[in-house]
Amino acid sequence: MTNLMVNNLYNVVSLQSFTVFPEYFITLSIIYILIVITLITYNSNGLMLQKAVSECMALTLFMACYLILNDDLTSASYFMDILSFSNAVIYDSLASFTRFWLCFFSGLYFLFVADSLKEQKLTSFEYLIIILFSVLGLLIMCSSNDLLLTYLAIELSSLALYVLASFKKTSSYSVESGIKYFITGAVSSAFFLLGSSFIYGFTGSINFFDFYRMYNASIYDYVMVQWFPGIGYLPSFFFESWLFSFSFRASYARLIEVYDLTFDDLLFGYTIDYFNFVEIGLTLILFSLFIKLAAAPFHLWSLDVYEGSPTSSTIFFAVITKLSILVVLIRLCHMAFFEIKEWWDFYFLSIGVFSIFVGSFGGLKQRKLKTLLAYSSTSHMGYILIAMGSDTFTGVQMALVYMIIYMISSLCVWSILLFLRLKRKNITTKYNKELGDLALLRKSNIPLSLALSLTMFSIAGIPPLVGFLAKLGVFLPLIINSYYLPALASIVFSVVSTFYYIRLIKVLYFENILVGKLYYPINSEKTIILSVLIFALIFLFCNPTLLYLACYKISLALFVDPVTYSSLPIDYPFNK
Amino acid sequence: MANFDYNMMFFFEDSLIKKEYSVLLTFLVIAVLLTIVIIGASYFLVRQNPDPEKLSAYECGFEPYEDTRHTFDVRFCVIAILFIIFDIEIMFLIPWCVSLAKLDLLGFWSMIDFLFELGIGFFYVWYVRALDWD
Repeated sequence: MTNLMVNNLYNVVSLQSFTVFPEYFITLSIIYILIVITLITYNSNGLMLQKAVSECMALTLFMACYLILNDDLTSASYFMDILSFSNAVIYDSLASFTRFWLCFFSGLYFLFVADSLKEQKLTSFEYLIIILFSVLGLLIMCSSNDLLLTYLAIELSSLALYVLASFKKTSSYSVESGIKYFITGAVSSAFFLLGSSFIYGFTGSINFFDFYRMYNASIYDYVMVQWFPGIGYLPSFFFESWLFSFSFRASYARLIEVYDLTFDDLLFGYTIDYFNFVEIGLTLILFSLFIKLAAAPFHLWSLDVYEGSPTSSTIFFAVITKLSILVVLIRLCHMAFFEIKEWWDFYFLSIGVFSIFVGSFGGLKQRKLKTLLAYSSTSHMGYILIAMGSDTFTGVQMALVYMIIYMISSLCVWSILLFLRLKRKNITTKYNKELGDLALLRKSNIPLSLALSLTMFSIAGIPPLVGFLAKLGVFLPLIINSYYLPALASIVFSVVSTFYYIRLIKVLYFENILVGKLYYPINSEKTIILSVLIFALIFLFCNPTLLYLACYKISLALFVDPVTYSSLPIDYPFNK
Repeated sequence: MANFDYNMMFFFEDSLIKKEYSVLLTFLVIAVLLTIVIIGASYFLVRQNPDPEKLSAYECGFEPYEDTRHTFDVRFCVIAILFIIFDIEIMFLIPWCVSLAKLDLLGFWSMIDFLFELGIGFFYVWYVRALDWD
């Protein structure tokens, strides 16, 4: 099957596929589940299979997690990333780590959502197939080294999510939120494409490693030259002088800067305006990704979309889509365009601080729980952006740590929101939970209210829980790098946001009313997973070392020289 | 580097940007002016006497029997979307067919895989009775 000979007539399945095994696995499982369940469901039996299909998909995703762990070249990825599919797909520790967490949290998501699909009247199994398509898109985004592949993955994921937001056809809120999400997402993808076209036009390449090499070409870069048959590659200093590599870098950097010289006789001389279109292109791409992250001032779509969509869709938007976009941001800014960090760290810091401001002050007057959590997720994205905006590698490490902790605690909160099913005779209208609905939870479900309050304390950043370490870790790189004003502003605004987190706990425990809402009890599979997540919140405060170490390794491994798959001299096609 | 002429970007009189984009500026100005002329002439020069009889719906001189608006049948939209998808599949098939002799076995099986995936979608659409026209 895999033939490493130069005679490439038989080179059908090449060894490079192992870098995308999880994607292959999930694609095949989508196809298989689609065919089988279509044949079962669309007969005259009328079986509703959504709970079983959801648990089957959770199993599929956990097997994909095992696949990712199995392929992890943990010792090798300190010095080697693997580029495959003509340098479009990269396999390094960042890709491996984030793909694992993505599949893991998606698997947990499917387990949480299995029961509640019937209660929300989302009984078609196609809902779950579309979620799995979105997970596939997010997986590809995590391991892409190319602007084009990133765009394709963003579109695949986002198109699935637009359908998910509007899946409940009987509710006009749902349809309206789908349309809002679609228009916002389409505009942001347009910005992404415009930025990519600027960057391509002025640099001639769409590959992230090419951008890195454009600023940082070194004499150790390998150049493709046919010197002898069988030995295809030489370091560049063998056949040109080593000054070649410096002039290479100088000429590329000069090409992307455009100077506009105008004569202004009022000032007795020339004025120089400086346009660097690569920076403009990068700014457009960054704005596109900020829109998708729901960072302020681009957060307005998320409030209505989270409120109007069915709750199981909202959990997916709020928890799982953010990780891949963070990965794209890390690859763009800390790998590809790291040399111009004075340009983009301004945007990260300003939009981050503004997101924290808007997220903190916007949630103060909210009584609807989903919109409250939407504001809260805007502020969390602000924390992550300011961690990235400090020009340190600690920032990248802490951004990843914060993202993982955000996913754990968000999954806890949203799943508690999902679990609480009203015990009413007939639920015909859409019913989203308000602040007052949680009032007597301390009497009806004591462990659940404890879980919710612990999660709220963690999100607020109160010490014996891991949210405190996450927030501390976010402010630390700013202070290391002497960005005192953003750090001070963020800390002050984070204190403001603790109001609405603690208010939730107050409603749970200290509300003096006599009549509350009655909820169904929660079955034991879901409580086991929820308890493990809550335990993780407390455990990670005592022993966060594993998480910190993994993210530290990733932040160090971002600048490893890659091994292009085709650069191994084994199957280079000489006779093309 | 020798071919890159800084003069082309610096002086606006001879600048490259002016050569490339001045045509577009002319187009934009003419479009806006023409629109203003047409709408302005129609608004200011026409004698307007609105009458309910003139503004009502026309049905061969009679009073209209019923409202002509009806709910949009979504089958048309579904068929249009499916047409786009399979048309794009054909669009990818055509260059592949032409250049198949120069592609090796990998190129062949890649297209077969593409056709297979779209075939799965086609099977699903057929089985779900979205192609039935009743």
